[in-house]
Amino acid sequence: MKLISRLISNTTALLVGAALSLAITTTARADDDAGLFLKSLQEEAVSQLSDESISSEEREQQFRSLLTENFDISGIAKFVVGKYWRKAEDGPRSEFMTIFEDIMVQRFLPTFSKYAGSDFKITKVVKKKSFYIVFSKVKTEGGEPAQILWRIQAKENSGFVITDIAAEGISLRSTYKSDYTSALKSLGGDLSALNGKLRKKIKSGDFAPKENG
Amino acid sequence: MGLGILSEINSGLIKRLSAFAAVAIFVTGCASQPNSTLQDEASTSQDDQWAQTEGTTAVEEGTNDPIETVNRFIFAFNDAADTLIFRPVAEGYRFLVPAPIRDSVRNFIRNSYSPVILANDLLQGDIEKAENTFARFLINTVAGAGGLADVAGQAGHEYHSEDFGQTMGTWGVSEGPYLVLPILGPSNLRDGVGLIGDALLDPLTYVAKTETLLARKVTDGVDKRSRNIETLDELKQDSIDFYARVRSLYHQKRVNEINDGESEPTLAPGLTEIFPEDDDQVSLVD
Repeated sequence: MKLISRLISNTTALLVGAALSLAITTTARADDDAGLFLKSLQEEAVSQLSDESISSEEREQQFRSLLTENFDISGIAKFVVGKYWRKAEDGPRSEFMTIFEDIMVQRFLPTFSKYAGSDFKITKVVKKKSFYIVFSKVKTEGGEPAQILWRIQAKENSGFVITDIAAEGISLRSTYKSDYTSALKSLGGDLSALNGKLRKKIKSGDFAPKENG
Repeated sequence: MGLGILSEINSGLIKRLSAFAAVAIFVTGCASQPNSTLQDEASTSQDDQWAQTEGTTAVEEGTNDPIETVNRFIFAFNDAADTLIFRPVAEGYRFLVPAPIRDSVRNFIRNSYSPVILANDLLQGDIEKAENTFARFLINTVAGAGGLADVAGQAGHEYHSEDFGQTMGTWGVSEGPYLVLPILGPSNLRDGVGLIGDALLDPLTYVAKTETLLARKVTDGVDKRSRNIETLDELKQDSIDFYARVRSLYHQKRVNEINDGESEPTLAPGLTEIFPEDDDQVSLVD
């Protein structure tokens, strides 16, 4: 009798355990998708950026499409202009979108190329109400490991899109936003004036990171 | 430079900066109850932060900067002083002094600040970090020739910095208005007071000569500046409003330091999330 009851309780424990672990794996799976998305994006970027056979124009073109496909560039562009977006006309708006994309390309192509070969690890994925935070660690040769956070949102139909990056707690969107809204404030909210300034900076390559000495 | 966000994200850079970083503090800069960086898990009333700022045109979102005019003036002064003095000095230092010696200088200065870091670890109730700081101090002072070599770091006791501004942050003291201090650079009311706290926590304040303390601070500043020459150049070039950029970076950096890089913040008031839940509304406003 004792034996049977023990057997039963053991079996129940086992079943409960199995059910629990099943539940855990299923919930984990949804989160994993965001991580997998980033992982595969990273692999794609590495293979593209380390391809020596293509010209620099081709590389820029490839990087641009990688960026526009996987990053919510227009969303970020709107965000960094803040309340001034609302007040702007359609012309300056679409102009700003194009310019902002150029800025991102100029800014991140060298950075991503530099980091393409470094050790990239996804450490955890946290689900928030409307997005995921994917934690990653990047370690460059001889450098200290940096924690990079990716704010990733599910697209309406399928797939994911990156809506912000934060390295060591510094968010891309917030940083650009404080800069551009403050600049816009002193320009009287004139988005075309900002566009003009940014265009000049793009032309002189101001957004490209310099090699560290 | 950092993978994500270019230079300002340079992890090494961010870690190296400390509140006392006289000159190097140009890198950082901003205090604010920020626009997008604000959602306190403890008080959800801030969820409508966006709604509020959208409504009031008088308040520029995310800039906790009531004395902006004065701050901008001091910032411009610091910037000029940097261009004329600090940057050239830092560049000369980097050019003339070989890297291993520069590292020893930094190790020595860091080691001399160990008691301050230890005190702040303890005040924050972080026993693990306090042990780490204590071990580093013992190992480096004894085996590292008085702190010139970071033997402890190689043995896995990594350096970290803490200051009294951060300590107050973990206690829930909010940052207060943004301040640009002459020479010392970006700060805020809390961190400015923190500088005094750190000086009081430092045993050397009571035993060393003023000149010695000043020399240490200047050397520390030159060292930090020399490690950030390109980063700062880039930052300056890349921004439209350098002042605003620095203000924002200072704020974000401090929040991150107070959270000790944890992006799941504790519930201490005043701590914020890097990616707030409800900050998307603005991008949907069309």
